[in-house]
Amino acid sequence: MKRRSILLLCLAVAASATTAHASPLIEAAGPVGGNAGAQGVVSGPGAASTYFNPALLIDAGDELLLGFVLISEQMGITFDGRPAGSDVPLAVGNRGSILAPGQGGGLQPLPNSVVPTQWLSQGCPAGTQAGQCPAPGFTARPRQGQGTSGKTRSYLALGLVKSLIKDRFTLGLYGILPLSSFTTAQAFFPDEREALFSNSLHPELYGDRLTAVSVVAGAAFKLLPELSIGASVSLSLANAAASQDYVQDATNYNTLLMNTSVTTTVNVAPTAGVRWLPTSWLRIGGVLHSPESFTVNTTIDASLPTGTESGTTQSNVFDWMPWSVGVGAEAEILARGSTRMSVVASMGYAFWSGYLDRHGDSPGMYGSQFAWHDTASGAAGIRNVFGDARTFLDMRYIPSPVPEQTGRSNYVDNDRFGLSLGGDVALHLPTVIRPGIQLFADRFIPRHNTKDPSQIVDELPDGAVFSSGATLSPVPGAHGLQTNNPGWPGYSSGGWLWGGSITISVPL
Amino acid sequence: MRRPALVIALTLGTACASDAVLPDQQATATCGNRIVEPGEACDNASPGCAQCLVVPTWTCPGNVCSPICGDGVVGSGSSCQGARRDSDCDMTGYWAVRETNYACDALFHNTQTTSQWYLFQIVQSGAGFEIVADIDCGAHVTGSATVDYTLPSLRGAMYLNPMDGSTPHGRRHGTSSATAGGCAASLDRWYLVEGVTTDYLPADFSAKPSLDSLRPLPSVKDPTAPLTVSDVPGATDPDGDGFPGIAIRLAGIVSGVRDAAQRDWKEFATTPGSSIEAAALTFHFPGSFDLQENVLHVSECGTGCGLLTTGAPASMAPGRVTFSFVGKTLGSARVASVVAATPRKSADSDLATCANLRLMLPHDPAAPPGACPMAGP
Repeated sequence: MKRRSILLLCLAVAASATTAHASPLIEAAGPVGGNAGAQGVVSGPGAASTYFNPALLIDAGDELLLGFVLISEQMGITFDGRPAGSDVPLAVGNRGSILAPGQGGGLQPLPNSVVPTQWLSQGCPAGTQAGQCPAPGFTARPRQGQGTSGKTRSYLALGLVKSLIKDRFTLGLYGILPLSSFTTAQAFFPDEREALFSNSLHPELYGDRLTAVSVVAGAAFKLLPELSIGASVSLSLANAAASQDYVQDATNYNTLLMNTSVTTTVNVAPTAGVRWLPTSWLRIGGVLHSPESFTVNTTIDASLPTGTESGTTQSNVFDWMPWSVGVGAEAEILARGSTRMSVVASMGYAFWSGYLDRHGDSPGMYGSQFAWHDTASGAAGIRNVFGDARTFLDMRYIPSPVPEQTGRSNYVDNDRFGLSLGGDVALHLPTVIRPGIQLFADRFIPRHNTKDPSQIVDELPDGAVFSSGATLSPVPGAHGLQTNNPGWPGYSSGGWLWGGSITISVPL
Repeated sequence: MRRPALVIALTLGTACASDAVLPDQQATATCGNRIVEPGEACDNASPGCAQCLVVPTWTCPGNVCSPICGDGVVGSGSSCQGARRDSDCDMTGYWAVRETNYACDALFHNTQTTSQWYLFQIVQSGAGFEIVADIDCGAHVTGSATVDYTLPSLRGAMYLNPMDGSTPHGRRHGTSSATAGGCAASLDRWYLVEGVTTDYLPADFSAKPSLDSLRPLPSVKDPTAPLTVSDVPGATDPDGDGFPGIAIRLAGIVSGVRDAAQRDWKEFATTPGSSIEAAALTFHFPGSFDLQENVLHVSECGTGCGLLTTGAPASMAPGRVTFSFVGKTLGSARVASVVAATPRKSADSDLATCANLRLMLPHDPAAPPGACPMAGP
């Protein structure tokens, strides 16, 4: 019997996830239904109050809410042209032949994560000749070829408000369910490492964050006629994936044997709210949201037939939301018959300085000047009631927590300034129904980031030499800064976040 | 009634953003597009242009490459068309030499292709020739793993096994003579050691002893243990890293540095009935080799650290030697484009010479069919 010489490479891959699912989607969509507008913390009691301020549920009438929601994320990213001489030269593709000065002195092999820029833009064809790569070759990853901007997503909104003890204790249920791209989690690096993957930049606080399934359940309790409190929890899914692979031939992954398993669990994150009526014409509300995230811990264990084993655990964090507080006040300034008018103002403070990106890294790792800021946002607007009809008009400003990206990191985010308007009306048919419509449009205020070359990783340091043959010959094109950082030498972003909802509410 | 609809349409239209990549401030050179761009010396499909660099012994004015005539090379016209040597089978002169060997690694059962480069200065008398000067330009291996000498190893290995008569083993000999179809050639068997003393070489190369019949190479029980040269009798440290053996860097499935004791032999000859083209500038003929290797120390362990302790490949397949004529006279245009200075006068110059050799005869990772056959049940 001839000896079978088949590579038996056993990879045991186990992935596990623990989470409290975030609600970036609910934050982006705003309160759906009623006339809460952009100020659900104090205005428009309804099913959406379950998330935005559960204490307001006490002021909401019993209702069943059904809505269709559209959110269009239209953030465009424009990349500056790369200056001459910043490409990683083709010679770097001759892996293992180049040494470069290391941080500790002396020559060190160039990291395998450095690839020629031409490979990224044009790929490397399979072959054995000069300028070719081992089969199947290296697939091109053109700059921003896999950008994720410009998506319009649709959702189903469901809400329920039911008073269990009249004027004393009320339950609420509220949820927004994506109708497509159901709960996508897409990891990407915010620096030069992303060149090896999509070689693109992605909006940091949108994209996959707008696909999170978000369901909230809560209750409000009236302590005093003028004071009520509420609490709610976000219910969401968490996934755990495990994969065991048996690689028979490391040069042919078509022979891979794989077993995978997925486990889904439910997690919760709390929200607390308060509503106070100091006078008959003034309502004050406050809310506290706990931090939330969707963390996936992936453990990989690899075993070789020789007995060699190695393993690692890496953590991905999705949909991270900070501690945040919000306060607001709504004052009725006109009450004449069935006509009423009120003005509303609110503000929020979010502790974004603790942000963890999709790889579980804090932006401060790139330097203290790149750590994210806490943000204070504000909104103001008016409310009108004309008999059975209600309308609202709000303006809001939401600053970006992302500082200017002059270094390695390329977190893409913009300040937002927007307008929202809408209303609903009670139709007295055989049963009373209340159809409504809400629209919003937020402008991503254009910003430009210009990179500081001294803050960028020089992937081919000056002094790089060929390690074999002409050992002391410098690598052509190594002088100056060479980088495949997708954000180099700068980029700008801007655009719109717009959308709306059509709702119908049936009193219970 | 149309105006509100128009306003809504325009609003939604401008609210659709898209990404854009502005043109580079200056187009970067793209090797292979047949256009000579900044940073490129040439860009065409000629054998005189490799990786957009002009191959030594060639010239590429106007992106049209042609061999350099003179100093033993003749051709017609200003572009030296039909270039050939001016002597049919006489090997006298400087040669770029690449030995190509194929081996099957025991674990992954992949073909490991090895290129080993030399500069030979050959003097022929009658049907025989001998090597009067040489530089060992190191090796490059591809396959399951990529293997290269470390920088100090390359420097240390360049002069370890001279074939120029400076050792008791004399000069390496060969033959080249005219036959009916061209030339028949051979290169005598030559034994080499690295990382051990020359005591591990056979006393008489011409006896062609097998490696297994020779004094066993030094070995250690645990290559991960911190050993020095004095701990392993017979070992040397040509790279000066403090560990016994010559340091070799591996990358790929297995990565790290291993210091090893190596011993091998190689011999080449045209097969009976075959010949090489007379006066050809570049030609090759087949040969065979054998290799022993004991790993004495491993360091900088990356992936597959345990595999670093594995020694020589399981089996060898027939290889070949390729000769490419450089010229006859040190200082001529042809030789000066390859040989940076008189061989063995300066390590830095010899390293530059080695780089030129690799450009003339680049590593070809392709293995012939059957070089590493899969064993059946």
